[in-house]
Amino acid sequence: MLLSNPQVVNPCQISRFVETRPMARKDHGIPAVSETGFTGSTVLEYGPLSHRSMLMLDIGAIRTRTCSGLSRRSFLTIGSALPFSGLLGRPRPATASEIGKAKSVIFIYLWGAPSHLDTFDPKPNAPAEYRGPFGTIATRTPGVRFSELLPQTAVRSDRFSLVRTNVAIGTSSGHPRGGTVALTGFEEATEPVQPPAFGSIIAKGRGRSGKLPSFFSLANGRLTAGGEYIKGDGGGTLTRAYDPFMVGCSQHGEVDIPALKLLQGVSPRQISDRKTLLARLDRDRRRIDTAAVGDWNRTYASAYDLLIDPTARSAFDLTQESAATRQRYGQSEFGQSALLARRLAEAEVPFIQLNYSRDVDAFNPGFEIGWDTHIYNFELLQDQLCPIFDRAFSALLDDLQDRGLMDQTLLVCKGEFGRTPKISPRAARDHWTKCYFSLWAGAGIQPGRVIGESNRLGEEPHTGPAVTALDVGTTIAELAGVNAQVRAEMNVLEGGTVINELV
Amino acid sequence: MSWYDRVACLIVCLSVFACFPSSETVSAETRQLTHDGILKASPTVCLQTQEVIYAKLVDPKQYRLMRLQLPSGSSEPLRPTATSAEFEPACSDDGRYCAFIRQQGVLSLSMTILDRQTDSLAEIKPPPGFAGMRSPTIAPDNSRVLYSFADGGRQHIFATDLNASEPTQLTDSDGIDNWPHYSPNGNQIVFGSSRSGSFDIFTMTVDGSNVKQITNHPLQDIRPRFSPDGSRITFVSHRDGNSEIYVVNNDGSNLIRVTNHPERDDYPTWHPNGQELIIVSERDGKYDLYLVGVENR
Repeated sequence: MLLSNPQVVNPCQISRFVETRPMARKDHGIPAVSETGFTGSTVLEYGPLSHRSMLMLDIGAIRTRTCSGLSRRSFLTIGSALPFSGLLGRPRPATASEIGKAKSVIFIYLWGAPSHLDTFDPKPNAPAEYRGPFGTIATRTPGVRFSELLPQTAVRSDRFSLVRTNVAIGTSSGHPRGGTVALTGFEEATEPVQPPAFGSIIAKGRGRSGKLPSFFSLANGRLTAGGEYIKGDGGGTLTRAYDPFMVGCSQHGEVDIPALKLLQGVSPRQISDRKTLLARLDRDRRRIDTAAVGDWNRTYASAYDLLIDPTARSAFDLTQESAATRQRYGQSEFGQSALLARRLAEAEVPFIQLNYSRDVDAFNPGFEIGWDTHIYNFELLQDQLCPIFDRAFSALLDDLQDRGLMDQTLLVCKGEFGRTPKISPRAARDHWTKCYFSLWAGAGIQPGRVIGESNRLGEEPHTGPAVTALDVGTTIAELAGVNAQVRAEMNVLEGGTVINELV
Repeated sequence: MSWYDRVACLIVCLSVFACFPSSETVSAETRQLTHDGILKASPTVCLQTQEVIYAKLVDPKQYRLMRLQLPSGSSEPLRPTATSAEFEPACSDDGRYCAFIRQQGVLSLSMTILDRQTDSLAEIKPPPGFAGMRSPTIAPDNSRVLYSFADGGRQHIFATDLNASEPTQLTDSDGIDNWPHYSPNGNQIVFGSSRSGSFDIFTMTVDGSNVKQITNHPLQDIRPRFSPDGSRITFVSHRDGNSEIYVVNNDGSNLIRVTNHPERDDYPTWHPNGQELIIVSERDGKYDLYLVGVENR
């Protein structure tokens, strides 16, 4: 059944359409989108605006084994990773009634804040000093156009919904503070303890059901901006037990787990001791392989589980994927990290924060290129940022669908704010908190919708809901089974509203 | 026939059709020049030395200039001791000079001119704050270097000498002017500009006058390069749905499409023989340099 009227919002009709449309097409089999777009997706229209120190575990320099296993030395080191072990040691299995539609959340964080006008909210009729140099292309959503830099994402717009009226709150126009708002829903606290990150809330609310940690952050280290960390990137008031488990991934798909690195600066005596311990651990590993955990401290045992259990360990092994699958994501850090995120979702890890880059800046020595494009915004978008994102994001959509994971995985993609609609003196775009975008797909999300409309210059919401980061976190929590009661018990996300237009 | 069957049929037909090049596509022999698949950009050819200088993203997270010898195919770092990111190279025809962009700090880019004979550097440093130069190119007679720089909400093309002194502004449009490149006789400059509303290709004389629009399309045409004889211009365009390579006569006539692949083809530069292009192609998600033939018409 085809829906010919793009304004129709009848969920039953949408459901029938989804059931009867052709199966997922592979990368190159997707026909081009006509200028009128495909039917079957929905654009929601609205009236006038309605309103409503974490301890990081990067402690070593020896890279762990990346493919079919983890090194014995890494196996040794993990036992001393206390925050990590704390996370593992406090499982709180959720009851069946607490589980929402999403077994896993993949939160794609475009650290640095992409320009909304040059990506998902173009303004081709705006004056030249606003609209930028890029053309627009049709999408599968009738009447909706994206930047020409996102062709693969455009032909998949029926698989996700787009919010064009996200707003950032308060004084969070800078990156570290804006990052805290984006990841927690609240402004940076003046006291040392920060509000908890969305991932920490899901980790505690859902508990740990398998042998993998409940909250992963995929980046080669803690996220930075100008040498500062995002303060609200971990457990915060929920304690450091719910800090993320950091995992890096190279452009070749080599997985790097900082928590499993050896301590730097150990003395020769300590190394000798470690050799002794290695022998002991080898014996213990054999024992654990064949017997129950016994009297091992539960925390340590859980940590060892991660390394010893082939199933848990295999989640990090991208070589188990076919060459074709790895290629679909592209040979980039973000691409291979996106594939790792899919594997973790397949293992039903409750929350996976997939960071586009570790550092916020587009040009920063020693780091990959982030989305903070104060200079050469247009060149960076066309040269590197958008091509890599377009490929990996579309591959992730395809892969989740092909494997039947879309219904159990919530996919959210956003930055901390948008970028100035008016082109800056450096012919680029600076920070803009009053309007930006987010993408939503998967479990519990009605795909193919565009929620909200920015004004003619992309400066602020014109119609539809003004969606805050708190609303984003609340919606994620609700769809991931951390309901209002559980949130209230944890004293988190107070005042947030579910984005009903998405579900 | 059900709707599903009709769509399936259409997809099959489109797939079969896609196996054949369109009438405007020039069938091209292709040869892969690098094989590591690591992200690469901006190859440029030293006509007399048969070297290709390009940028490659190496670990730890640094763009490094590489030098590929066309005859042998061997590749090595141009400046192995460089500690900051260096990219967007341009080399003089005789291979003596190499201009490139060098990272000074966070969001701060300088333009550096390397005299490979004396191993000395000249540099235009960016003003304080977030700023930087882009897209250098060297005149055939080694007299001038062009580059792009943004100020006042627009981005212009400037010229300087090889000592990086006395820069002069050549363009003054309401848009982004970028990717300048000299014609072989040094009389013309081809560049990309958004002055028409989207990126198109333009030419001008070396003093910035006599601007002519070569292409006109609502989707971007970027990164133009004159052929070694000056008669043709290669560039990148999105006009057929993704990033592909095109060639057009220097008066805007006889547009031909060189590449036709669902993945990205970008950064074309002419081989000294004038019959082939060196490009960066993404194949199976990996970026490598390729040599692709351009049929004469």
